[in-house]
Amino acid sequence: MSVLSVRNLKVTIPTHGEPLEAVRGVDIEVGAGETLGIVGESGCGKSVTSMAIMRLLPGRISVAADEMRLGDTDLLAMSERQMADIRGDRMAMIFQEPMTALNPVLTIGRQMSETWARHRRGSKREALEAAVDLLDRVGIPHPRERLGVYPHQLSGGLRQRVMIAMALLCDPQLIIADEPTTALDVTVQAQILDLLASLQQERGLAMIFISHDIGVVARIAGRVQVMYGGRTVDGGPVGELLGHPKHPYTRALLSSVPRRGMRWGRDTLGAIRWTEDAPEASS
Amino acid sequence: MSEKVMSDIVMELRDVRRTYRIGGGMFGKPRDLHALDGVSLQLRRGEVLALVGESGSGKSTLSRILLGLEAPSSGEVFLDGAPVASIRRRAFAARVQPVFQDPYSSLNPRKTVRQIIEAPLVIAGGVAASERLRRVRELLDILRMPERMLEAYPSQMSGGQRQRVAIARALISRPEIVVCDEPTSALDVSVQAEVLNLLMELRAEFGLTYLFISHDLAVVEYIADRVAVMQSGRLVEVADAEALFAAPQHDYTRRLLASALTVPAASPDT
Repeated sequence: MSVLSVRNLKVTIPTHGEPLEAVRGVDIEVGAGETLGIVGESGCGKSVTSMAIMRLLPGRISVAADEMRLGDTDLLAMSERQMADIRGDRMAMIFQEPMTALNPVLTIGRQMSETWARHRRGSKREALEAAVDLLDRVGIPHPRERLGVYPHQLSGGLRQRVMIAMALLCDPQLIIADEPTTALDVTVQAQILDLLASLQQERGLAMIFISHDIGVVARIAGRVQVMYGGRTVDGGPVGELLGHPKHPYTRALLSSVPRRGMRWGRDTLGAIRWTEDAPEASS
Repeated sequence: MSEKVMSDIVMELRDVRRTYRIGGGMFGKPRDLHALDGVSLQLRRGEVLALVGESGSGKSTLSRILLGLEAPSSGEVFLDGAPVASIRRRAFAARVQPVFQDPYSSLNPRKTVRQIIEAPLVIAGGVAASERLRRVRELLDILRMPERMLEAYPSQMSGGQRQRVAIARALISRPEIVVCDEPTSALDVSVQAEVLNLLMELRAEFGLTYLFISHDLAVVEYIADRVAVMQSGRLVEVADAEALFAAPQHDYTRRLLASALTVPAASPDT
């Protein structure tokens, strides 16, 4: 059974002129233990899609769908308060820049125990024990001592590990990771991807992994959806999609990325010709 | 450049060190951070020399020293055989120009495209307004940007267009060297392809030498003639690009190459 099931998601952003249809009918299905990659360029609607699922978009933006279920919970029927209970508990998000997603004036321990208290209402000691366990699990050395540090005292890689630990704290069914390794160095990126993959396996998490980087998605996702202009234009198992891209846009996207072994003058990078107005929404 | 013979080496660093004093604050003991720890490097005329390494390896300090934005704590920098310290600031700036990573923050939002591109000439002085405009127009044409862009503001442009404006600004003073610091990292992949092609075409057209800083090893392999690998303020390996990617010598280079995630080549099963 699917952990997350979304049918015909539409997101419309009001502007001074014509409303902008940032997402125009997207379906998403992720099962336990599965990683779905969503790739696409700026403005394709990939981040807006994830924000809509988490219900993190500002109220003036309209979100509609035929169906949006987390397990057997109908997310469309949830009030704001109920959604606040679900976020961070049953589904959690990992963002690109942990420096902006973490609170700079609270210690790591305080942030983690507040999240725990919000959803689990346990004692502070239990919360801190859970935090130490997870910090240890995500590979942070000396986790107990790290509870007292502030985000700026950690390197980018460690901060991203803290974010992952916080996302996992309440043992969610679904994790949405939006460009979680884009701000990291390549060696750190590889470590974080391996960590996410192994956590996902051991906990049977459903994961949506959003990235502009096809190489990264190829490494972590089993199935991929390619988005363009607010729609899913292509999709399938990762090997098939990359090996035999069917849709012209996927082919163009793949051919525009330099691959190992390619040299300028001998190999040509493909260009993408815009066939349709891509929305200018930030993603 | 009177009697000077144009040599193969356009710029050279000899045993350059740059040290920052950090910490200290109220209680801490200040200590020295060796951002560059004895770097010697030659930039050959007309080449694309890529500089790779992770955050904190000293890449940006090295590029700031090449651009003359910072002086080395010790060691020497030469431009066409002359010590950089002996070259007047404005003359130096006209010969070595930067293209930065983020076209959203590196362009003044309150200036028009024309004003942004001609700024290096205005600062250098001695070029009449009509000649400046002629050169701006010529560059827009080369960069395949419509003339109506002249009076546009950066906020009205896409990322790719902005990066072209940044490239035009770098080229207007007809520099010998362009230091590109992650010039395509903030761009979409399709736009990246376009900017890379453009940079390579311009190299031939203007006889440019590039120092190209990037974390993307596939991009580096695609365009670089030589690659310099930095770790903790030192160059651990400098080699021809094809040799380096085929047989990396240093352990750290091997580790970097192993971590790089690129699109697997098209194949039936992955």
